Amino acid sequence: MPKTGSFLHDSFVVENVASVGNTFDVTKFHAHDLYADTSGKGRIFADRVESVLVRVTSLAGAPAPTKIIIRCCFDETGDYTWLPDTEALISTGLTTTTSGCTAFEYKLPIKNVINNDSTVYLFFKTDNGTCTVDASCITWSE
Amino acid sequence: MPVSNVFDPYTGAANGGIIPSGGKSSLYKPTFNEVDLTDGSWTLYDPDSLIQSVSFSGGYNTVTWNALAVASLNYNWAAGGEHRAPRWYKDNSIDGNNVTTMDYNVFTSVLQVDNSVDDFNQAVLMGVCVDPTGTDVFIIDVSGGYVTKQTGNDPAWGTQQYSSATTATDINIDYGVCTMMRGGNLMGSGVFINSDSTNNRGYVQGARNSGAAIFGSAIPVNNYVMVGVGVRDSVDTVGAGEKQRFRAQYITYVPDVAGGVP
Repeated sequence: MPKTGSFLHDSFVVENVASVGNTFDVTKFHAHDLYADTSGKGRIFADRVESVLVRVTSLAGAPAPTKIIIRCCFDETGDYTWLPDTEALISTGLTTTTSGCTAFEYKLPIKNVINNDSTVYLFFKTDNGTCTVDASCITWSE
Repeated sequence: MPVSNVFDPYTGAANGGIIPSGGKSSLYKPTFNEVDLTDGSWTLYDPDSLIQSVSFSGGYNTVTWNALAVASLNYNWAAGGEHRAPRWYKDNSIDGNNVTTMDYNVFTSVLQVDNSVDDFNQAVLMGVCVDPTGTDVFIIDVSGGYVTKQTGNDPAWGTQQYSSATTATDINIDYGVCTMMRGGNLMGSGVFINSDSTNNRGYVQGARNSGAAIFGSAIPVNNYVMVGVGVRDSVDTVGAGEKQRFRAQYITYVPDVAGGVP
């Protein structure tokens, strides 16, 4: 009997992007190949993005960041946006106030018709101060 | 860690992660309630059996009268201490909450009349009242948007307040917009602007204070929305089968006045 329903996948990027400030910078992003770990690798991404998680460290400044604002684009110059600028409160750690996480809900199907591949680019900025984005995860479903 | 919605789950708009709208409708250009007196939601109170029939078509209500052979002050919503003119009513309710006399409520109506149905000197009242089945003005406590029309002449739109009215006319006018505030057990006041339907330009404006208190206390009583029909002046009569045709729309909102008082 075939399986029915939806299946969750994720793209998890662990990479330090330092000195993220309160303006978007085309050099500060995580590149997510959403089909990297699937049989669809190399094909045009056409599925439903569920959520985005962003982990931050080295929260610094006066005031330090309280929010992370993200934008996700089909291109690495940040011109073809599929996730418009959205802010989320940083939930800092239980043992430290200099690192934390943010969560975003998207829940729409998208198709990468711009670059005809499965890579998208997640840009970050803060509301105040600076931080290092050390990891991000985009969850999608088919 | 709150989850930020990229899109507002209620409106679908990109909301940048701020708190979603919560399903509340916008205060910018909210939709009016269209009055269809035949839709089953309205109750007719007609103490002297003056209504023969009512129908609804194209947004307009057509009211056909029985004969009003003897003119009387009682059928003029803008005069006297007794109102016996026919009226339809229903609860003044927002999302299941009855608006009360203590609620500071803002009521806006838009009235239009079909000038081609010009059988008698008529009046239409689209308002709010306390007791729609009363006949004494101090029991009914009605106020709202008001339009009168003398046969062969342009309608005059304005506001009826308690037992009087202020109206204004102009050859260019197609509809009258009236907004009034009631609350705190006072009947408040109404203001109006009369406009054309070509570019919604206003031509005349005015206001009237009811000068009336509903109760000298803080006891809340439910309000009703009311559509009254009648004659333009106390000397006017109506022949059997004569008609009037009008369109009425309204909206009520209740700001949380007490919640905003420090």
